[in-house]
Amino acid sequence: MTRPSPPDPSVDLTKNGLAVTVRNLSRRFGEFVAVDDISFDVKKGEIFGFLGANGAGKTTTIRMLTGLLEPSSGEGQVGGFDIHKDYEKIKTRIGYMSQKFSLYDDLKVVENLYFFGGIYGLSREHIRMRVAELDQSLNLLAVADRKTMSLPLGFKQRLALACAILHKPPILFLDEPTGGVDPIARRYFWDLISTLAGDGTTVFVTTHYMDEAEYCHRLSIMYKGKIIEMDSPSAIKKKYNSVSIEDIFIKLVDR
Amino acid sequence: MGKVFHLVKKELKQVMRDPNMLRVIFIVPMIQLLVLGYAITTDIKNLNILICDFDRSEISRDLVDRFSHTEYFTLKEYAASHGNIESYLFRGKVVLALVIPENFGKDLETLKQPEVQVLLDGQNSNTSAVALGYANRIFLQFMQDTLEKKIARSPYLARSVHFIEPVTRTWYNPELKSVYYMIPGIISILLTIITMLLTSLAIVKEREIGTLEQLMVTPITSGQIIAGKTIPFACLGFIEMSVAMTFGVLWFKIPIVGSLPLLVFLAATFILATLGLGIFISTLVNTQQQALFMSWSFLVTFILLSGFFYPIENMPEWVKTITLFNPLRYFIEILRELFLKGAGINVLWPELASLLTIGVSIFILATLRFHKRNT
Repeated sequence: MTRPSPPDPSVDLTKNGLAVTVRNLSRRFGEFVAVDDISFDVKKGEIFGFLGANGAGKTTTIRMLTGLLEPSSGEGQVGGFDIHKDYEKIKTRIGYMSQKFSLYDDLKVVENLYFFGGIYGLSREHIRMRVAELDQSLNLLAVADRKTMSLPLGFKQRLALACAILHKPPILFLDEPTGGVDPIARRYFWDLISTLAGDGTTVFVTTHYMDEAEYCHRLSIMYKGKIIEMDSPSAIKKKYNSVSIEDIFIKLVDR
Repeated sequence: MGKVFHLVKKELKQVMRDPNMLRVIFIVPMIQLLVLGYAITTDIKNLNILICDFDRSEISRDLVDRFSHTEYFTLKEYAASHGNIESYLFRGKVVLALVIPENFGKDLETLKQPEVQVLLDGQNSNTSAVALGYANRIFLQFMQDTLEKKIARSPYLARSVHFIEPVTRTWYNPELKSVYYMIPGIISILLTIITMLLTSLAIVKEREIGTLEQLMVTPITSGQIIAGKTIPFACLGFIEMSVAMTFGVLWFKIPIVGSLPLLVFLAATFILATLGLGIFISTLVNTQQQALFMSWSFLVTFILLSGFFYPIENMPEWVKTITLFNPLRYFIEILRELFLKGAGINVLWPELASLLTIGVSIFILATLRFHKRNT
């Protein structure tokens, strides 16, 4: 397991250095404010974690950044494209894995891979090469001809990840990617994420598992639509004088 | 184009792998065609009747014979008194009761105007109207025969009384077989189900399981998604139509007089409307259950306002106006004209124009409502 070093904080945060920029972003559903005036930047190659309880606004934020949901107000750029005007262009730069397993259960593993590869416009030959490449870490070809529905959840998640990164997106959005997966599979999954980030992929990940927060280079803790804390895990622990992100989280939320 | 191909291939693969889906698409229509082809018929025969003859004369017996010796009626009961009649009608044992009063024969001979009573069970207005029609035909023939007998006896009458002899020929469906009329209707309904219902279900199903969202984060355009969701069901619709037509020709011996390429072209314009509606429905609902319910509501409205069961001519003006927006109305008309009369584009162009207008409008509307991003 190789944990990449976090990006050098002394690097000038010019636009070129940023994969995602968000300023005063809000989303309201009627009276309810799901995301309330949040601002943050994600550096290229960074694993940026969104930590929060269910309903804190993590998924709503991801949906606005991936062009699935129109923001109510605020500005943002993903991969250099504006989230208001160029949200379709954003889709050429990102991979996305939703919190619910959303591949075709009635298709075989290879069929899912070739389908999503085809949708991203990759040629058959290109997909074949990419799948062989990904297989070294994801071990999916062993179950290539199995119907997706018959796979254990851990396999399904790796397949979903494979489908999301077939086209080598520079930015990867993962919405609670490890929900319901056993600890060993989770550990394995996070090793893959770290490797991807090491290769230069920016990873934007949400989670409510406190132990996973430790894998992130930078962490933002979300509560009731607002970001209430944002820094590296070690800096946060130092600030609150605690060894456990979980304790800090509970302290912050109880405040 | 390549992306649409991947979507279509995936969709067909999923349909072909689902045994339930295959049954719904291929077996169920056969059964429907077979059962409905026989069941939905307006050829009304062997209606049960009751006759109560108080006269019991030679003449009244002649009338009774005429009613009992026809394929239209079956003499169920020969009642002796008035009392039984109501219970027979009430329990639905007979649809028509004929009451011949005393002195009927004598009155007829003495040139009085005798009356006979015809009682009908109006519960099923359609059947009783048909029964009354048959009865009137028998009365007319009876009167003509009676009159002819009198004419034979009186030369004076022979000079002054003339009959009109209507010479009827029924064109295009000489035996007036209602199955010829019904099968095109059933085919068009099956086609509507495949294209409208399955399209809306296929989209909403993907929304439910989350794969639609997974597609929405890819650079695919909404036009490509719509094409990918409609082309497979258009193909299935054409396959189903061919199967149903082959079945209609081989089993029910329906003549198809018109041009098949024209039929395919006109069916394509019809499918444009139903596929567009399927997409439109999918933009209005969130669950497959809602999609099913909404498609069903559209389907029933379309069928009732298509002239399939009830002639459009009989509808009130405002309902007639509504039927102008009903694609099924035009397609049933097209199928019947084309199958039985061999009508060409020179006859069917108004229907074609209406179908194209409806299809293009609903498709534009559906595409405008089909967003990749939620607002």
